[in-house]
Amino acid sequence: MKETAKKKSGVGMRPAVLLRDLSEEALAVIFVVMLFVAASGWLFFHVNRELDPDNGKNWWTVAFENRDTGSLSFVIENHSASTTFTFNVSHDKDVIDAGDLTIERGGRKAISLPANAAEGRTIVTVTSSDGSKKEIYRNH
Amino acid sequence: MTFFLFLVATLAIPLSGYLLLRGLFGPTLPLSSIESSAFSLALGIGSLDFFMIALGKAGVPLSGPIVLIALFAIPTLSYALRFAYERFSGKRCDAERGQSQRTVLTKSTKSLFLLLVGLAVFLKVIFLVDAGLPTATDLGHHMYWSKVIVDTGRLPEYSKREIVDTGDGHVALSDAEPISDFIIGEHLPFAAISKLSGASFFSAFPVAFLLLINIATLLALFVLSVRIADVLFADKAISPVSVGLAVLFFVGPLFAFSSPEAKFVSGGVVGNLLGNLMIPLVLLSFFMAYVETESRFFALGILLSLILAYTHHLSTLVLAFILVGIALSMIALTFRDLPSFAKRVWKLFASPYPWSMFVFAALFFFLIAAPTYIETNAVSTAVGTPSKVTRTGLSLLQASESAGMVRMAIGLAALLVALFIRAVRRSPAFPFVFGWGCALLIMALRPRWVFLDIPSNRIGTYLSFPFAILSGMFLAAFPIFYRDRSKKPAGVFVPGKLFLFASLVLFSFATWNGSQDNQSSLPSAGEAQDTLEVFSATNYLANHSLPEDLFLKDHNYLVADSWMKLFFMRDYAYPLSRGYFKRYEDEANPREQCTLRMISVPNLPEGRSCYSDLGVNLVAINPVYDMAQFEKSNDFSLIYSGTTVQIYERNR
Repeated sequence: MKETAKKKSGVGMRPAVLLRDLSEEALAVIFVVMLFVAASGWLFFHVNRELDPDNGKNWWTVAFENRDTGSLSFVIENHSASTTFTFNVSHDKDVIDAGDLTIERGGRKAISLPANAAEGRTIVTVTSSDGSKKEIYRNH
Repeated sequence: MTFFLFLVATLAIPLSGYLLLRGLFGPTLPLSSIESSAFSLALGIGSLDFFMIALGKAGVPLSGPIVLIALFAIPTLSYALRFAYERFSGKRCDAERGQSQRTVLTKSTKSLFLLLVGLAVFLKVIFLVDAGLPTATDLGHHMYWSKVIVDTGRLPEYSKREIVDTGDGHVALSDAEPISDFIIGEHLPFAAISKLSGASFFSAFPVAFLLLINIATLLALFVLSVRIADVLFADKAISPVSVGLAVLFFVGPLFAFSSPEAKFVSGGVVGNLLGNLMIPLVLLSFFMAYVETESRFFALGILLSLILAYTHHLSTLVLAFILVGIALSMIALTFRDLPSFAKRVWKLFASPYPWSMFVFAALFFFLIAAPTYIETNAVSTAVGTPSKVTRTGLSLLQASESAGMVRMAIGLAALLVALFIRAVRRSPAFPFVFGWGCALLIMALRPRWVFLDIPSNRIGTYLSFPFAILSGMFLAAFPIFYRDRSKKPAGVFVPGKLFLFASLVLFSFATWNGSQDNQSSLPSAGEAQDTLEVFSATNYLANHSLPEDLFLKDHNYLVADSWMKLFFMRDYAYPLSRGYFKRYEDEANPREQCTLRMISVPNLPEGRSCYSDLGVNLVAINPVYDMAQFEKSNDFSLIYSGTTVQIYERNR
């Protein structure tokens, strides 16, 4: 009985023999743990891929570079297939500045413009090469 | 690397729980491997909570090394002391340790068990692949508090600023007021895992951890039903493991996506999920304590109940009602054997184990910390005559939708049939399931009878487990109605073909109803890009934020908006939020209207007045729905423009 008990307890046994001596239930628990490892691994992989701003995504944004109310400098952040952007700056329907720029996917570029605190609305309109358009503006 | 560290940190919790389990209760407490695993996870979470609370209250910064100490110090010490005691007292020999191992599964049942668990996990992962992004409202709220612990190294003070009426037709932002909706036990495990692994909250780690809790719940329900069946069908006409497998069928692959299953996992209903794990384990502990008159199980149940009390208030209340229901059922159904019943219960108390737990509970409660809902007197708001129509009880149809129609139908049938079978009715195991099911039915259908003032649909989600167990028992016991005519039948028998037909119908109905629920719950893909845009906009604002800024966002049309607060960490209620429209129309619970007006009618006098009173100067909206009213206003500048999110700044 002592020898059987010793065998069951695994005292002094090599790991390979220990595994064989594990009950069916203990093996089932190990399997469930491995299942969790695999499931969580897949979730981590998938969520990381989904939260990658460039992987399979198509979006871009434009924002003023700082909060100064007179500043018109702005930043384009690109996560789309389009890489060419055209901007123009208008005030009361008069175009006061314009230009083109290229931003690779995953990149961001800042465009410095002279400050303008003129009364009314000054609009920065950005158009990408796929035709999508966004604008930001300051009202004074 | 982060994933590996996450695994190590997560699996360290049940490891520490196992050390505590064996340290406190000894190696001779008879548990199977599956039981040990489920108890270990629950105890690991509990010991982590208690020691982090104690250290936090003592002013010790909750850094990574401190969290590690909280996780392992006391469990390791208790295990070492127990080992030394057992070794040197000569009380235990290896044979005894061998005898303390129970088994539930055999080689023949292991395959079906693994198939059911594997299928359940597979289905849940399919759901979570799209629904597991960090977008869920509840999860965002909970992760905010966990991030507070990680960022500050201190226990959070659950409070928030609110918009209040100043009484002169104006409004103002109040100072931070205590809130009772959150309990520390919901946040400490996430904070600990993040601290130890460095995992960002904006990743799969919160959902992955909740998936582990959900899987452990399946195991807990499996072993609970096996143990109950072992006593209920003492004549062994029905194999207890077959009951467990049938229950696993009803809670695993069927309704895999429903609340409280994968939907709660992706939705981040943290407290409910932890409660769903603890409740079956508490009931298992008390059941084993009663059936085997083993006070260590009784003490284990008390400890798990205490852990639950510091984890989720609603689950604690539900557990209390369940235990009362079970106690009343036991008294009613075993009244002929009341002296024996009383003697058994007395024996459970006549041991130092349960009293040690009571003393620990009292010391912790009075000297270290009480749960937040006690400190804020939240209990009084949950008990009383139902105050709203949503708290007056569900209809049977609504309850069936909560529990799963097939589980409710078969479970109710099982309950009624069992009442007419004397051997089952008089079994000591029957009151556990009967009392559990009836207590929840009354709470969900007739809350007024028990003075409960809680949204009834929240109670409805607790119905699924007892009725899954009843359904599993009925399904496993169904063959007993078929008897070979050549042998003496012990009861009703049906012809073989009719029995086969009935079995197929039953199985098909169960499978159809459960998988139909799965099918209707599959989320649509495509939120990832919208989520990234919202996070990008919030990150922009956080990097360009000024101390005097006050930011308002919309909850109706912005994805993942509840996660925006994690970028600022200024206050639970920052940014302010325009909530669901129906909440502003709720006459039973009137609320401020400014958050609605500032986005819906920013140019009208009532909207302008709110801006003026509160000083809100930044607004985030979805341009598809809310751009028009801001575009035509000269009071706002558009400073950030994306496809699904825009930020406006109000001119000062």
